[in-house]
Amino acid sequence: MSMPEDKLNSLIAAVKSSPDVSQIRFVREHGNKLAEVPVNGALCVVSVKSLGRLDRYVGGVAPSGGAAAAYIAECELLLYANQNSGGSYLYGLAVSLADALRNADNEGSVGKMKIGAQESASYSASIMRRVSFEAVFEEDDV
Amino acid sequence: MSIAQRIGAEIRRRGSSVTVQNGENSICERALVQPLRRAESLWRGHESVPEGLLTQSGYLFIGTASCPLEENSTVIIADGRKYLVRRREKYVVGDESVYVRAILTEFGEIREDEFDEHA
Repeated sequence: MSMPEDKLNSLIAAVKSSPDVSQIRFVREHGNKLAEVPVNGALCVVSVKSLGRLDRYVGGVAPSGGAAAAYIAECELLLYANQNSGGSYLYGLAVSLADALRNADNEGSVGKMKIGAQESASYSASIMRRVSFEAVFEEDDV
Repeated sequence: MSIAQRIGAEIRRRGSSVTVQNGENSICERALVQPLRRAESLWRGHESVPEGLLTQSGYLFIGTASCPLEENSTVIIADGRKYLVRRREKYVVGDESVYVRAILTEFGEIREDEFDEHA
């Protein structure tokens, strides 16, 4: 498993420890299993929109001994709820998820965060909000 | 014999055994379930969406007028496969319900949490 993926997994595991999001199931994006139709309860798809490598050299010059790898990731937590559960339920859950994410960020890797507008995913009889954030993942040891 | 009784008898005679699940309640019925043919293609496969694979195929369900179907809730089990009722309507002649028809999609099972192993 690559370092940024490992870091993201650890972050999500820390998020899951919050009791406010205990009813949410977290799954990986674009899996090879059938989509849950209809969505039962709350489902969160963990998505990485993009990943960029950061150059962390002093003065921008590569040192001879190497440098700690660092990546900046644009992540999205796609939060789905059954359409019968209502928009206020989804909104409340999205806020709880954002709070849990901020509290779980012990390494200070999460930057700006945003909760998107509610969307309809009619194919799975659900409603959805995106909790998007930027995170910088760095190697622990140089 | 009324038209509803005649068509109901025909569905029971020619249909296959299906299980209609509404929450905890399930009943056995006889109904016709067949792939829905569309003009652009006979068969459409799966599309990848963030939540997983989503089938693009639809199925047509024809059952007796008394068959209890709820949109986005009722699950049909036929020939070992599970379907979800997406749209349904009753065909009515005069004041009499003759039969019920519905569009089904493949039922996606409840997903397990995939981040438990990292806790």
